[in-house]
Amino acid sequence: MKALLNFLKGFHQSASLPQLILLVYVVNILVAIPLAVTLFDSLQDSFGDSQVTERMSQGFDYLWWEEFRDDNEGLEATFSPALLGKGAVLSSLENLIRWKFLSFPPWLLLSACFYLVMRTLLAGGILHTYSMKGNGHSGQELLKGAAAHAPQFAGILLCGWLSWLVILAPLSSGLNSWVRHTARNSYSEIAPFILNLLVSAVIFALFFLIQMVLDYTRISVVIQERRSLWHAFRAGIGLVARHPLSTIALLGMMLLVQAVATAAYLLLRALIPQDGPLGVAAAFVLLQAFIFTLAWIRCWQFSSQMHLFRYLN
Amino acid sequence: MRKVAFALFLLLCPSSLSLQGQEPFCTQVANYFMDVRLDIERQTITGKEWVTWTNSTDSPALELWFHLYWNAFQNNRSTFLKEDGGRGSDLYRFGREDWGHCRIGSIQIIESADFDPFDLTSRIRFRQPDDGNPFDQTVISIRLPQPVAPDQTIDLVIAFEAKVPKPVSRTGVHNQYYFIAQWYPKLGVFQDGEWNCHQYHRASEYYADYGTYDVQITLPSSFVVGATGEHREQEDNGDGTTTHRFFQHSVHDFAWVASPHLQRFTEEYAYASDKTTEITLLLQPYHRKLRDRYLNAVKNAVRYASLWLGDYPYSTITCVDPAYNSRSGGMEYPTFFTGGAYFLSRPGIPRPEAVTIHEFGHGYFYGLLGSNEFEQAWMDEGMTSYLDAAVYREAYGDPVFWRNFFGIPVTFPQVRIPIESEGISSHRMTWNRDEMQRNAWQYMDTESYGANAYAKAALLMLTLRRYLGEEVFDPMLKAYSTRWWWRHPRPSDFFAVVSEFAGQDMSWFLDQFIYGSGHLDYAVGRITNRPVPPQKGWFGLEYRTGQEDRPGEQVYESEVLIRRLGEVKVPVKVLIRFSDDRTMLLDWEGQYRWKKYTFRSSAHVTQAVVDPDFVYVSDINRTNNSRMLKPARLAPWRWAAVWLHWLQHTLELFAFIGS
Repeated sequence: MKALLNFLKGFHQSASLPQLILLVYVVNILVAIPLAVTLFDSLQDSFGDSQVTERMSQGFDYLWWEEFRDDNEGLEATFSPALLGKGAVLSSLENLIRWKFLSFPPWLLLSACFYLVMRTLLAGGILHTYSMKGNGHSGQELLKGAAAHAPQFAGILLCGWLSWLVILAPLSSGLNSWVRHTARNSYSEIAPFILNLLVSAVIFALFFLIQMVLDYTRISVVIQERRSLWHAFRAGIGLVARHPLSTIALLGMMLLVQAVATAAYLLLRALIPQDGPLGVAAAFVLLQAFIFTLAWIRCWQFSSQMHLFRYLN
Repeated sequence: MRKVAFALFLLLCPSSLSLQGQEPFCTQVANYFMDVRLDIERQTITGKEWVTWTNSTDSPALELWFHLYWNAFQNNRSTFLKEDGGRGSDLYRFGREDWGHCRIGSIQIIESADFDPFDLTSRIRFRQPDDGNPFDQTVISIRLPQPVAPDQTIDLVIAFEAKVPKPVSRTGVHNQYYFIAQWYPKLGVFQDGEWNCHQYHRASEYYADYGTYDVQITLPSSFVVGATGEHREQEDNGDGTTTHRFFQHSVHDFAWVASPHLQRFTEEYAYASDKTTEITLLLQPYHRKLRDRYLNAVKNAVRYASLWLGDYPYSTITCVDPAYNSRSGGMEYPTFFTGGAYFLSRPGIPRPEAVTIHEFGHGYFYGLLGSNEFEQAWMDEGMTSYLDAAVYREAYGDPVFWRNFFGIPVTFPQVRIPIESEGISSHRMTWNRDEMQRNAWQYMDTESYGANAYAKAALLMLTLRRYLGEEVFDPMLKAYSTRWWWRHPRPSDFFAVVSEFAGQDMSWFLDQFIYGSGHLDYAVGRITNRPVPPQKGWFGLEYRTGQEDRPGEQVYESEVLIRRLGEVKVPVKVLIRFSDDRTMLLDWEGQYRWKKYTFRSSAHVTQAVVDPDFVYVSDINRTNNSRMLKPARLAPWRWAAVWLHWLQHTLELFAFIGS
């Protein structure tokens, strides 16, 4: 009930400040566009003035893609028909959970890191804005909040990465080698398949759990004005430890909203034929609406968690 | 049963092999009668083999050479495992009992009209004809007390022990699943006055003479058994073991599988009006739902291969669904092969169909033609790859693109994989590493072996089909197949059949593919259209001002540049399209580096395509084969947007978690 109440409060607050969502969305597209332009150029170069342009306008030319894949590395190597439709979502999920993003080309990895840093700074500003009661939701306040909490938030981001390096990576590697060992003597491929799924689920859950603690650490920094990261972290973990049901239920709701939004997007996207400029434009607009929605969900989560934090303290 | 075994052998051999009423399809050069026992405690196969070998050449044989393939698995210094470099095996985890071997206890000449009994055991010498590696014991030679003259037959009895290794490559034991291949002392091929008997290599398969195999295998009664040939009989020995007897003439190898877990399904299949064969599927229980897909794949393979390569002559086909981690999947043996499947495989994903069709197809080029896989691997692997691609598409259409996410196969039905993609990618990546015709172990690396023996050769076959036309190629392939059944063709034999059907010497074409390492790439260099200016100036005695031409009759001078970017030279067609929708199909012999075509017309050139019918599927850059004045500009936008979707979602997902 507590989770639901604060989930709704978060929805209300985040919806009432769409400019914050817009800012998050703009950062996303600003980071993505230069990379997309690079890929666009590569595609254009590869297509040239050939008949492939016609085939790729109407459908997918598998032979061309093999050539493109074989002749290129780096960013271009990430382009594949497996990104079509649900493939894009599954691919990014798998990249994250099974650490496949480590094999991303350097420019993509650097951009992702830059994006995380930008989002970390933004998170300070967003939480600061949400924490303010009444007026003062100006851009100036946002920047002020971002700057004020930047050192702590950068520290929390580092903690997140450290948790990955120190806890999740070794755990994942250990579990995976255990699965491989088990698979060697396994009677069929079914047991290793299930074990691999379980390992992914465990890592996924732990990942979210750790990030949730770090979210409450961020909130503690902002609303309790803590300078000490250690104290903020204790506050965050303390809250989750004392109220595991409420905090996890809230996280579950947010994940559910994200899943529903993704499913709705994929369904709508499948309805748009993309064999003409209008279809391509419509698909692009829908995609941006989807990314905007994801940004909103993240802001909504911040707000809900902040309300829950206050409620439980 | 075993007591009668030797008596039966004496009846069958040596030189008057009656085959129990069956007429062999060919000269039975190397015949094996075996009586062996599988000991699942010691993981050994022990027993005897009685061999009759006829010298079918014009030269006397002073020695006998045998393969002892499993000695490749007795230590990590064997040529096979050195070449493997640890890639295909788990040697680092091998314990004392996990290694394999094939050891001869004794070998004796049996008395016959031409030979006195003689114990050859002390004359065994390990030989390393390929690399001189002293640790390699996969080949032996035995000097005979007297030569085997042409047409003479020698009878031998060999006592041997084969230690079943943990799965290394194509064979071994895993969870009571025994896949037993290349397991017995096996004669090489005596040809051209010498023994063709190569060491066991990582990137090579086999070569042997045809003969009759009559094999008795004793093993625990709970085991389901499958093997090369007909399952003639089985006898319960009353001690928890059963002896199975398999028989097949006119084959050049014998392999078998045994496991208590296998499920057997048998169907009689009529693949032509008067032709039937018995299909046996030995399936892993966890692949039960794939049963019909396996069986249908075998049926399609038999049906189309019979149609295109000649009626399948044997009475049995045994398809084995390999056990997980057994490393025995995707291998062929006479009348017997292994497939490969994944329990979540969905319709549209070509597993188990593609591998099943491929391995059955080997039954022709490896099995019936007996191509030398050591020295001309492409004549088996490449032709089989072509066959499986063609049969699969004939039976099922183009496969869909698919990818595993979290181990779950996800299909993308909007993306189909055309036959032209078969092998082109690996050829594109490795074309300059090797020539196609090499000894299998002498390619630069495993990748190049695969790219040449499989991919390039399959591309050659498809190219040949398109170049000659179906009406020439299809009868040619069938003639090549049926003429050379049981005769070990060499490349020149293939050349001869191709040239015969093409009505010209095709060496100019085949040499470039088979003995060359160049690539094929034709391209449209550029299209230029220039309005022809009105005539101005002195033209003989006439002065023209440029105003004489009537307005509205613009004439263009168009030029199309076609380029040969690769080393392979072939004649190509060039399609030119004009702005008034006229088309023109031109021929270029494709010899020099480029060719310019110029046109003067009121319509300008809008499009040029070199090789518009896609004859040359081995062209490593198909995209540059065409050029248009007005390409569709939507394509990069559309696909950059698809990629952007993935990128933005990835960033947002990471941020959702990371900050």
